[in-house]
Amino acid sequence: MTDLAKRLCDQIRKQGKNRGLLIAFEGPDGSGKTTQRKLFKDWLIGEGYDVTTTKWNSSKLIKPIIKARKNARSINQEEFCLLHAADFRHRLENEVIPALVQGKMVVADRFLFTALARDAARGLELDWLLHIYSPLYWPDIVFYFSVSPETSGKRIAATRSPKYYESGQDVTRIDDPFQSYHQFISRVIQEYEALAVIFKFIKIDAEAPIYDQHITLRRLFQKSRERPWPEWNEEAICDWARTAPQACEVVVGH
Amino acid sequence: MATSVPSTGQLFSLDVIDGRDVVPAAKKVLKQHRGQNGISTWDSSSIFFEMHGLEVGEHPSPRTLVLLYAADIFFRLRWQILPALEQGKCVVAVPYLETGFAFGALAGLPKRWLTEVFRFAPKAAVSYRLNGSSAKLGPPTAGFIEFCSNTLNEDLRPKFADYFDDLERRGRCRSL
Repeated sequence: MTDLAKRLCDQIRKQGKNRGLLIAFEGPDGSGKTTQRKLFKDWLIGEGYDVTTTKWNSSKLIKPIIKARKNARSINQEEFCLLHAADFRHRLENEVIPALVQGKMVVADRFLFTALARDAARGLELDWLLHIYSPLYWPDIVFYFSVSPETSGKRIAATRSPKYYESGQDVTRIDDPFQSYHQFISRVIQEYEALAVIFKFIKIDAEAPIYDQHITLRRLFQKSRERPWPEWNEEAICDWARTAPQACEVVVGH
Repeated sequence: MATSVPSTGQLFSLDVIDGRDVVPAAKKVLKQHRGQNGISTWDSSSIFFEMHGLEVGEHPSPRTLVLLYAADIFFRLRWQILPALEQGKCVVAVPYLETGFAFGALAGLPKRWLTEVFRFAPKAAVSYRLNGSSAKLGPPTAGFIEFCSNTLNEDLRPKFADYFDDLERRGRCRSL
């Protein structure tokens, strides 16, 4: 471990119970997680926390590249995966890790598990996906918003027609986006459910009233607030310290 | 996971230090193997060209660059390399996997991770390398090595040359 990596890890450990947590909001489209993420973020700010938000496929550098290819329907499963992994890595290195090292709360509207569920539903091997996304920085809390494929489909259809990749038409080859969406989201939910067991997600009934869900989130957060820093995230910090030039900028006293 | 190479064609890889040498060098390989014209070049997907034009003030890290390089390779396989091989052509992929491995190694990325990232790509029948012919570093859009050198603000060409020298010593590639 380099000296810089050691200092970064120590900086996080020294924050003890007051350290910032990485809280991921996961679930299929139409599960209402963005609504809950916004409510939760506002509540955290009201409680006096310094909060950073990161959203899926949102980096200034890679999002335009992905968007152009999605519009042209020109990428296949592997390219879809690699480009999203690049976007994820860029945000992890430039938004997520710097904020956590500085003791901020990070609320992620979709995180690693979105990629695992969607890409596995597209037929890619989970083992390869875990390598592509490594070194992994594991969230402290994963709120998984669970809905049925029917509810997800109805909520999406109420506002718009699902887009080509969102409906998984690239893999189902079904012309009707609604029909394709139903088939694809069923696979995604199946993958999510499996991941929820393996990675111990906190399952939220996303078909419950909005305010009830929010109150549940507050209660669950307060219960898990004071948790030690998981040492298995050290690898991601070491990797970041070694390869990202901005790492030294967030060391206190540097 | 690895894509299989159609038995009808032949895939050659050529990793060059200078992006400006790509086409003449690839033609030389094709001539040596008396093959039909089939060259697949860096950034055919236009990922790096578009990213260069964004001017967002953020630089990708080496790990992000490798993932994007892999996405470009996959695009080239799907649209250029495999279709040409299926037609029985000889294809020169310039640059190919070793440039990604070389950059990853220079940036301190684990070999195991690099191997996994490029697991989908078929191996070339013969691998060639070519040292640079120019003293001056080309613009970022000239090639992957130039793009990385400009991004990391360091002329990486001598380190790439050392890496390929080592590969050649171990019999993993031939000088062109």
